[in-house]
Amino acid sequence: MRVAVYAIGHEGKWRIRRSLDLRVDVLWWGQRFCATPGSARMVLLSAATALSSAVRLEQRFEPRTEMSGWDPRKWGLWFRERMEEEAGRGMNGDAALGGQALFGGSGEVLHSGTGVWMWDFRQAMPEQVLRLLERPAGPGQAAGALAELGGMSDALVERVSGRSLLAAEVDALLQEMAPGLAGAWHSAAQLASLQGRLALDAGLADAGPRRGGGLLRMGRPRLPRCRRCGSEATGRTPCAACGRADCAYCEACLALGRSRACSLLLRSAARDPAVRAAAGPSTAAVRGRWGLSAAQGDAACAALGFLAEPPRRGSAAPGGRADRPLAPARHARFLLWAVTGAGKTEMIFPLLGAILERGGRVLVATPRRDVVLELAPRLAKAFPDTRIVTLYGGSDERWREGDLTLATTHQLMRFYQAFDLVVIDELDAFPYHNDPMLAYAAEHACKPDGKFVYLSATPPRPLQKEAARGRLPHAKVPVRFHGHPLPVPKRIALKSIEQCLRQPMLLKRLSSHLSLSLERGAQIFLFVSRIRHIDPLVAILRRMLGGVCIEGTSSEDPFRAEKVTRFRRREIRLLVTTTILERGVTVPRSDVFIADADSSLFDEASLVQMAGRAGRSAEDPAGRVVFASPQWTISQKRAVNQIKSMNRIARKNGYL
Amino acid sequence: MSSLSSSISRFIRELLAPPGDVCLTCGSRTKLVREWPGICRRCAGAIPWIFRPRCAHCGRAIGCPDCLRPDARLRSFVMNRSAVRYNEMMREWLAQYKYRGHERYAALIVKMLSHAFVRMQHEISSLQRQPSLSRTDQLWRPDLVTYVPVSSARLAERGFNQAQVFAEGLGRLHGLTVADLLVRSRHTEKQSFKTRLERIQSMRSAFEFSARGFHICENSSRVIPPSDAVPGTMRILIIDDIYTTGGTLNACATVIRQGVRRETGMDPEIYSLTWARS
Repeated sequence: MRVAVYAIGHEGKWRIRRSLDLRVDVLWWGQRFCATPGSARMVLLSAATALSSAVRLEQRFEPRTEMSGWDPRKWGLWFRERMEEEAGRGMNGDAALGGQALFGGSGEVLHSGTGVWMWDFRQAMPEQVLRLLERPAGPGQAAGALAELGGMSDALVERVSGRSLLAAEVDALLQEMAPGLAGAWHSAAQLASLQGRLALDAGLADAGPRRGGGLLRMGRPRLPRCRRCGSEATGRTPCAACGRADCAYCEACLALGRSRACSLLLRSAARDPAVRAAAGPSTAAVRGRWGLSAAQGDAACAALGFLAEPPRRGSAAPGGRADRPLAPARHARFLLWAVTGAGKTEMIFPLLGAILERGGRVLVATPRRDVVLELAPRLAKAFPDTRIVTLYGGSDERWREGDLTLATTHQLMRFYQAFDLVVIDELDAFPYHNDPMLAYAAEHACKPDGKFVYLSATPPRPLQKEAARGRLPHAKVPVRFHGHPLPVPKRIALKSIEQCLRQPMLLKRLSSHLSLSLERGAQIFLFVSRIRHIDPLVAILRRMLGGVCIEGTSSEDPFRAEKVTRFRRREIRLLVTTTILERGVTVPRSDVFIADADSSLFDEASLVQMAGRAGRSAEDPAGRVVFASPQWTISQKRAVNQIKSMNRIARKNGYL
Repeated sequence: MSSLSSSISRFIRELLAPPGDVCLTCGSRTKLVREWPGICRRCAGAIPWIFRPRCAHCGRAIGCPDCLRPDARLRSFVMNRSAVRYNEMMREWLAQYKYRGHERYAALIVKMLSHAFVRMQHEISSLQRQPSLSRTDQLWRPDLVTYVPVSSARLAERGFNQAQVFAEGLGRLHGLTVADLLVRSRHTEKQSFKTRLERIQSMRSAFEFSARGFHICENSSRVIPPSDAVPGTMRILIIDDIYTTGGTLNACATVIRQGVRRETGMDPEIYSLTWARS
């Protein structure tokens, strides 16, 4: 989009500002400076300039002392020079100089001072300003108009508080939540921005100064970054909305609407500082109220203690305004490291309760949509008097406001410093793992003095190390809710599946172990590393284990959900699958076999997760876990060590 | 120090990483094909090309009841050809490009359109090749390429006009003159929410001929008036993203014919090429 650009000077101090609605700025500065002593001037430089150019001009502006003596012509020349520099930088000619005048739509272009006006606030309004306002506005009338607009801007700020939204999203939000404001919010937003309650930025931020990276990144071009998701924007296209031939846009977060160099991003941080949990509930009280096991209760209390601590940086700086959007404050973090099947969800209830009780806002982010849908009714039952909002792609509660927000990770991008507590479920799972975009979004969703709680059964290695060194406060839940130790994986030597498919006799070793499990009446998960291995393996196993119902499924299987249901009902006894079923599936009385356990596709986390499918029910707590591979790898060793060490801790603490 | 070591390790990992890029359309990391910009072999293989249109008028791949209606004879354009059938996958591609604004799709779609254009050239040439005509080995070429315009409100909202991008891309690849022959006089509602009859009615009077655009290209171009063709015929190709009922294209063709007749006295032949045929 295009915005108006003007310079405002008071007592010889000049600043460049941009405006969505120049009339608001004229009234605002007029009211402020007409009555006060001292010289003050406002100079309109352009009525319509590409937002990206305007932001750049504002950021790079260096005030000069002689500016107070400039006439409109001089200002016009200066502005034109700046715009030509900008156009040269973008390697395109006149496109950046896109100044179509606002007045009357006459198509008048503001070249070298023709449309530039200057208003000395000690004198009367120049004719252009009068024309702009369409009626003479004395001091009283100006105040009246601003007061009227002030009501609208209050309503707007209330609606978008804690949000980070593109203009199109603001439209959608207002359409649904405040139809009175929809379509006419630009003026209100401009006033709110003058009042400092709202940040109106471009969707992409200019590339900042080079930071870190060292020698190897030296030759790389500096790319603008998306303010919403933090990714580098590689695409550049001509844009009819701002008139530039090289308007950049972000490809990473397109799914939530296009963020581009000239699109408007509204951000408004929640005003009040983050709340803390009340200190000192006893473990027994917490366990009793929420029905937790001993291990769960201890961990929950440790986390509650963390929530009651004062924030590290002190709550005196609640601002966190949009001044340094790309360098978010590091938040206080806590890791709840709970083994698979420990009952993580129950453990977060006391944490949510503690913050909600104090009037705080809480976010629970989880990577999968089905988890959101499953968790929502449980939370609604646990917190009947709380406004709960569930957000996922296509959710119809998109713009609803709530105290407890349950969302898939991508939805976090629509929030800005809104939450007192952010709980991130399955931190190590796709799509969180290795996606800096979502980490960026999560950091921005949390208030600067808010807190993070991570939930994971298999935290990524760096977090494990931080926890071990005592830099990351954490609590381990080393035992499952039924109080039995985790099954420790056993290793059998087996040639690679690739080879076994060529020489089926090699599978004998595996099939004898499989028969053992089938005889004890267990359901078997057989994990393989490649989708293409599934069908041939199923065919061979059907032959070898005649009479047993064997099926295979993968991410490409349209009947996946149905097969999992049949597996749960014990109609299918052996399910050959890939890592898609490594999480979130609970099948009573099940054993786990992992073929090609040495594959690089199975890291420590996914081995622990797959092993975690076994022995989850209280009736059959001792499932078997078998790693079948030609060689023993560091991932397998670490996975077994992690499981063993959890069992050891559980024994030591007397949870078993 | 840590940043240096991490960037060295990242550099080494990049060197050792399996070759391949992320496919634009399916997002998987594989080797990309050379023929089509940015997509993998699997996606390229799944493109539902229309190699042999069943309907000679509108270029549909399946039998076409619309072209059997009596009013179809009154159409202002000679024929339409489309690159692909508009199936789920193509719908997703177009949505990614047009509505989500993923403009890297433009290069891919232009290339596909260019492919269809060459096929269209051969098809028309083989139809028109008659012993009486001297041009036996020369392919059919339009004298002008134009596109279906969008309203200025939509243009500002989207940032680009997909039909214009396609037309300009095609013009670049084949050395054709692209002209803005049309302006949108009225902001019509989005087509996707309407029935066939509503679409046709709303299309009437949605476009106006731009004599200015016509004369600009007349001055700069070397192809007007066509000297080597049948005397008095000018061939104009209209580009759009998708052909659904043909209402939009017919309205455009009507307006262009009237306009050109008014300006030059010639009655041009209008052809249309779209990326998809629903």
